[in-house]
Amino acid sequence: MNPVSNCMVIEVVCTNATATQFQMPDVPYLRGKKITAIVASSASNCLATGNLNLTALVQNQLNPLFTSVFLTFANNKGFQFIQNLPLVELCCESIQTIQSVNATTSTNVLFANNTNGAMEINPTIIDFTKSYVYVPNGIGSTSYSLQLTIFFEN
Amino acid sequence: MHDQYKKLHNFQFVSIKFTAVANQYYFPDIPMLRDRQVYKINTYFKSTLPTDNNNTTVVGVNTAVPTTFVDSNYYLTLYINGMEKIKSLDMNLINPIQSTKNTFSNGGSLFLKPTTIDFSKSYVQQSFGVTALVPPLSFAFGIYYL
Repeated sequence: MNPVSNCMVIEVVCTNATATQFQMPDVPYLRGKKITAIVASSASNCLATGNLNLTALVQNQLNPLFTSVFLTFANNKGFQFIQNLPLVELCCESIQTIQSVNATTSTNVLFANNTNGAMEINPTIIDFTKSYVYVPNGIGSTSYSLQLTIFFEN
Repeated sequence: MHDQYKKLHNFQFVSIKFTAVANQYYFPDIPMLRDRQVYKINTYFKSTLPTDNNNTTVVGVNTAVPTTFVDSNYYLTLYINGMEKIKSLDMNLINPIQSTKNTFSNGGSLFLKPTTIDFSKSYVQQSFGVTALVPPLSFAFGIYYL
């Protein structure tokens, strides 16, 4: 990854038992900024999110069906240049403990996640108000927060 | 590989959902990608992505149904410029996010010289002699394009 010049953390609150789509907040400071990389926090490195002190939204903390989480980002022209990116693509730590893929057992498995480090993005202005988190199975009644670290050009 | 292609330019999630067992599973038509230059393809198995965006179970190892098939039973063929230029590529090789329960350790992305892919003629093939899949299931792919 290129040397970091700027970064900030944003959180997407997911707290509705019936909803499957959660809009990202408006982030005035990032308006017009070219985003160069995004990293998602996950259970192994984030017990509670920094700003809202909520449980970090990661796949293993959803329901026992091991739900998938997808992210969609729109650029400043409204084009969804990232459409349904699996959240696991943005988790850059090397090992992640998650629930068993076999719902009939409780055995944990270890993930050796992608070794690319941060997901680098061709510098793009993102319209966060048109970007969202999608959880096909729904979120349940617990409140979660998806914590994203955003790297950007000045 | 050019540094340019390490970065994400555009991403589209694509799944092949099937409700009946077959030897070949064709991609749906993807109008968004008809004229786009694809430079990278990933696949996801259930161990890293349990369901696709339509909440259909993704194929993979160690799934409850069935319990015996393994990832290496799937092969990807891509139709490019009127030919099957990528022919029967073992999908293990394009799975960059790995589980220790899988039987492989060297998965990675498929980096292509940027090219247009005719997805409607591209397909996944299951090798013969393995435990049949129990649909509905889906194959999941991440398509990176310029």
